[in-house]
Amino acid sequence: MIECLCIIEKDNFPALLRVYSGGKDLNKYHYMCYCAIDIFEEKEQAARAGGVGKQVDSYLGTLYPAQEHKIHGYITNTGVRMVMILDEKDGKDGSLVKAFFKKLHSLHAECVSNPFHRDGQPIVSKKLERDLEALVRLWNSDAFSLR
Amino acid sequence: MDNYHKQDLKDFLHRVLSPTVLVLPTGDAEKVARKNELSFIDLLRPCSLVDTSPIAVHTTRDQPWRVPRMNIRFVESGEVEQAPEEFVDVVLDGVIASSASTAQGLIPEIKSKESAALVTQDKTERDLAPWFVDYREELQRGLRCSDHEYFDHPIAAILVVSSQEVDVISKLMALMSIDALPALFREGLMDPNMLKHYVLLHDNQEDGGARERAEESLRLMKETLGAPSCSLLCINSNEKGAAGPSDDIWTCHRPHAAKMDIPPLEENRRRGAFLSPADCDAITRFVSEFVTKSLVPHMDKRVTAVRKGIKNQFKSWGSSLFGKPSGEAGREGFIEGSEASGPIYLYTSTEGQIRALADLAFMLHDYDLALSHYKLVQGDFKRDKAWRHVAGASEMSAICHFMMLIRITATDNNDLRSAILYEQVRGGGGAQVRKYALHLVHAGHRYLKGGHKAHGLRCYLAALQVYETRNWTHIDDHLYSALAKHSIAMHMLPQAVSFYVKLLGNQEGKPAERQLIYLRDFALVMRQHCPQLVISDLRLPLIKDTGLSICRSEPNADEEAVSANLSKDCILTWSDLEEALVDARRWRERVRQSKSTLQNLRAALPEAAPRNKRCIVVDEETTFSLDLVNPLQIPLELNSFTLEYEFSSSSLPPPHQDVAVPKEVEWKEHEEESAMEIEQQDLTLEPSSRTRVSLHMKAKKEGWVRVKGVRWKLVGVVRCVHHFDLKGKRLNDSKARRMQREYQRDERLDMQCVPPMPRLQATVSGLPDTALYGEIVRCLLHVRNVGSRAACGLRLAVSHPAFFSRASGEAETVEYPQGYLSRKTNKHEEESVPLHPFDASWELEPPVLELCWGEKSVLEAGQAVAIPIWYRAHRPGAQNFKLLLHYTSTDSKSAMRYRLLRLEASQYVLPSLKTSVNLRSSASDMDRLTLALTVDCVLNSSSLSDNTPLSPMHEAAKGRSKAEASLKLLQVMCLSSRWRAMPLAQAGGTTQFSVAGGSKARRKHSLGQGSRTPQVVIYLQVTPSGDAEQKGMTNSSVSFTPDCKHMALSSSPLTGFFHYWEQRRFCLIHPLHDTRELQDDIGTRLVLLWSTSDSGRMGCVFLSCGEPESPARPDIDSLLYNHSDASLQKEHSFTRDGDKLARLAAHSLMEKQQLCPLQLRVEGPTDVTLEACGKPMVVPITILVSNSGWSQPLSISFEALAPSEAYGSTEGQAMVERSWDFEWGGCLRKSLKLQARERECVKLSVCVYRPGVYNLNRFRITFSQLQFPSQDFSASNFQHLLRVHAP
Repeated sequence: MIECLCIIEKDNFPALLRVYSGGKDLNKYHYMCYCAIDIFEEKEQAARAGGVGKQVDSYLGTLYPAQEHKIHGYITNTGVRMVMILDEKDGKDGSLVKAFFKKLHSLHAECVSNPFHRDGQPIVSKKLERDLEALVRLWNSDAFSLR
Repeated sequence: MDNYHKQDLKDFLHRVLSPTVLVLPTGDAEKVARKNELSFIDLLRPCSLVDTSPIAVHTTRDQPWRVPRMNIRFVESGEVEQAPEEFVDVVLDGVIASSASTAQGLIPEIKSKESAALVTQDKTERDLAPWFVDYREELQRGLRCSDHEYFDHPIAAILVVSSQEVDVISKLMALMSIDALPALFREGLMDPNMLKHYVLLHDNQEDGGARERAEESLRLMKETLGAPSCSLLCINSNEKGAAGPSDDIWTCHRPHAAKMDIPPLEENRRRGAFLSPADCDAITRFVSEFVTKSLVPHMDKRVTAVRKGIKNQFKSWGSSLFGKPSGEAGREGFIEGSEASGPIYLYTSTEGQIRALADLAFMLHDYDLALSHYKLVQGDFKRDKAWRHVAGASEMSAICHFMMLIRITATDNNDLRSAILYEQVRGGGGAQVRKYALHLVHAGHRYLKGGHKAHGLRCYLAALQVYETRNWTHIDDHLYSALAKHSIAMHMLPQAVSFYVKLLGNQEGKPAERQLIYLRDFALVMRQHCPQLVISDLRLPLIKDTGLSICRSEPNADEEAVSANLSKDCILTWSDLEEALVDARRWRERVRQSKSTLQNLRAALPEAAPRNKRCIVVDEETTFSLDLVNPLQIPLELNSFTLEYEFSSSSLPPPHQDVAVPKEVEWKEHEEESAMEIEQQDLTLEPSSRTRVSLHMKAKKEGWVRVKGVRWKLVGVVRCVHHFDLKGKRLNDSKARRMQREYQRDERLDMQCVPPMPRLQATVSGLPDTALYGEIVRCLLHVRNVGSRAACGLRLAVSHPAFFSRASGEAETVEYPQGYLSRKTNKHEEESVPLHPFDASWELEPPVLELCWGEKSVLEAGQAVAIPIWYRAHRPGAQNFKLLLHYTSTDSKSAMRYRLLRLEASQYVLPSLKTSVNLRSSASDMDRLTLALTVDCVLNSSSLSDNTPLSPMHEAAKGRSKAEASLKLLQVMCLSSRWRAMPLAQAGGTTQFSVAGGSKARRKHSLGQGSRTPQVVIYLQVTPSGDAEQKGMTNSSVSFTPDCKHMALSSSPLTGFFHYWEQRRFCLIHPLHDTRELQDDIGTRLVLLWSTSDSGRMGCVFLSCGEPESPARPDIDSLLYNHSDASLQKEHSFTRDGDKLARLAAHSLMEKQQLCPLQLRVEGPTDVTLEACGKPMVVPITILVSNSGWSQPLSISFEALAPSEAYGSTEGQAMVERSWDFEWGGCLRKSLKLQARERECVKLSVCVYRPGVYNLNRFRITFSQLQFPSQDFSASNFQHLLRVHAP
């Protein structure tokens, strides 16, 4: 079950953070997402050190261990980081998580293509909210598939 | 993990996992030590770290090695037992609590990766977190002697007996007996057969053969117990009263639990009072010798021995396994325990021995051996389901694998433990700063939960440094609120308030409930704890300093930017007008330099005359307006919102304080008798809104006032102050200043309070919203003095000088416009007017009207006056007028030199008449010219909109204005020094002119009827007046009204406007820097007066004939007004596209242009009747040719053309058909030479055959004069028609 989704801009600004675990302990998710930046930075650095030619997968896998949560990370070509926090019991495999991130990525791209969107501001988009809700519902009801 | 951490942990492990030595003193021995207020074990503890490098250790290896140092843990018999858990918790609590004060100052400055590296560099654990070190030690001590751990089993015992005692040996034996030993020995958990060392403690204070007795006892001991295990220790060798060691080196080595119950020292007692340095050395030597000579060799031997023993046991155990099966009960030293506690292994059990062996190996730094045995025993324990033992062995193998970090579990129920561990796991920053911060937050949370507020706050503060200013506002909020809440609980009020301020300043866009809670909490805290505190940095509401505007009763240049209403057609600002009023010299210079290309024009201009300082007049109101923004989603209540000011009654402005020095903010209520009277407002700001607030301030005393800021009470409780931080101009004159972004000091808020002054209020009445182009209106400037002093020296600066003129000296009672038209006897009046002297520097004069009335022109307090001013709509289009009224006090010593009053008016001027002038030679008289003044009425025409789209304002103006169907022409005046004008037809020209939009009206004697244009052509004949040298001008006036009314040009209202118009025209022709000779005459000028059909409105149009085509340079107006004068273009357009004769005539008026001065007229009958059909008829014709030029002779050849010649060869075929055309008769060619103003006649005859209308224009005139390039004078549009009627 998805507990939290977060989109962090390249300059570490939290453009979007949604919690789907019933609104309890919101701060916890903020802290966890912020902490994830460390790992993103490390991985980016490692990718840079690996050289230009090396193809880096956008999906970074589980970022760091945390109790009762699984924290997955994804980084786009433009350096936007996405964090998905699943609960411990969620047993879906990496390919599904990756597919979900791809969907989230395309939603985000759609949203920032809006000429009225401003960088460095929280994302405000009704469509994004609606689509995200639908996606999360799909995931939480185990109906999310690779297609 | 950092190196320092590794080292630190290594040291710690060596310290805690070290050999334990049981110290057992007899009561007498203890007494000897107690003389120093210390127990015997206290004496040993400072020497516990022993250098063991001299001795080699073998254990099972081939190569001996050396253990560099060894720590010995000396324990009393009371310590060899399990400590109750509650007791340990209390002790640990005490440790952390006692370090609370140190914790406050220890907040590492870690904000980013770089700072983290810097901070943790060269720091030990004790520097960073001293409480942790203590906590660790105590925790370890608290866990001692548990069932599954073997580290705390004593390896050796030191038995101490006093030399005083008689039977030393039996005493020692009693000490050693199993009953005297701690319970764990009796239970068989610990091995009582440990290494024993016997110490005879001798008190040097004893005298009388005590020393000998001691020697004797020692000898006895050595004999009985063996020499190497006995030693004599002599202490208390200090004389009574002699100075012992000054420092207390003993108590600090006590365990924390023992430290807590140290009895306070009595008066004059000192610890270690009897211990001389020699004694201390002796103790150190004793411990060192004991360790190196007895303990380490014993441990070494024991490892070897036990290992061998185990091997043998394994063999027997293995054979018994495979041989006969032996029950579990057969295992030595193994006691099966309950499910919860697990089995118990006595020291005699194999597992216990293996474990003890491994521990010994570990202590001797033989980690390989230790590890292998830990692993060995682990399996056994596992088999027996002795999980705690398994865990203990696993832990030790982990430590053996070299010091892995202790894995924390957050599920640990002990808050304190998890907090401590969280804090340690943070890793001191390093690469993962954010993780470090997260752990700190966890730690802080657990600390707070466990009641350790100081440590919790410390953790939160350290974490805040990482999170703050990173835009993760939720996190910030959480930290701020927690910090604020717990700071209150810790009675750290200033800190709590500062966190609340930060929290509330961070609330933009957050949920309303949260904001409400925070705000309520804050208000509550402030009310309960510090209602007097003044907060200066609370950003509720947000105040934009740039939005501050000050509106004094006296307008000032500062407000220009705020009330900037720079219309595009007027670039004169209020300060320009002020300059025109008070600094005419500079104004002139600026106008003169207006086209200058000087680099530094400012330097070329004269110094500006002093203006008024920022003054506020006592008892007059000043308004401060500022924008308040409520960033919250909830309404914000502000009470007593008012200004904060500083008043000094000196005559000099108060000195500026350095901004960098923060000043104590104080709150003092405005008093009744204060120097200023300032309004207080209670406001409620709507959620997420911007509110403009105006505060009124009134000075009561003279002096200087500085407005510092505003203050208010948030929700009626919290006292807040905001100080304005205004910047002046950016200073850019030097590089240093540019780099440092320096700004000028803003002095807008420093104001001088000056004594009462006159204060005027003024309005302009009579100025219509819309006017017709050229309309003249009489307006009244109503001025009322509402001040307490008399005003004088009223002057009015106008932004559009062409529109306004001062009415001079006529009675106000005269009705306008009828009263200004005087009845004359004749329609045509002429008068001689003196030539106006023109001055080229006229255009430099400032546009100021002097206002005077009555005798003295002084306006007493309370009086009112209405001053008439003439207005003429000089230019069509939208106009925004600025009028600046200037006046001074009659009191010459007043601090304010003058006061100003601003008036603004806007207006739309509609087009009315479009006029053009045509001149042609008179048909009747060669000396005369006919002047055709074509007047188009464009009142409601759409001709204007053809080129320019109608502006909305124009539309609105058209809608507002009364629909004027037509205009009446009243009078035309011609002003010239050379010409006189009179009506063309003296007799019949009484028809009243009226021009109506869309309808036609024409004078009868025009060329023909049928044209449908809405225009009137007025024909005047113009004759030269006397000789050209005559000085003075003739003003010929022709009235069109039936009662012969004329308006004089020499009196109001015409004279002012006309003079202005003339002057400007002159300045156009003769620019300031023009070196050509100035001419006083600027040509012939026409003034056309019109009125509306109901005679209610009147206006005039000024026209001129004959002048240079285009101005030599843009005039001053176009510079100042940034527009092209529409009327100007209209008026001289005729010189460009008029017909040739008109140009000729224009030339004759001006004699400047190189045009042909030839004039031609045909005289003869126009109507003839044929005598009979088919019979030709001859009509005599005279053609008059005249040279109308003033100086040049003219040579021409005249030629009458045959029909074929006239129509050209291209029409050759058609020509045959035109046999009805006429034939010329008489002299067909003639050469003529005409002197100036000479005329010649050519007599010809015309032969016609049939009736019809003939155009006699069938001749050619050729010039043969050098000056005119051979030019064909075919007067194409000249025609003389001959009508031939049938008989």
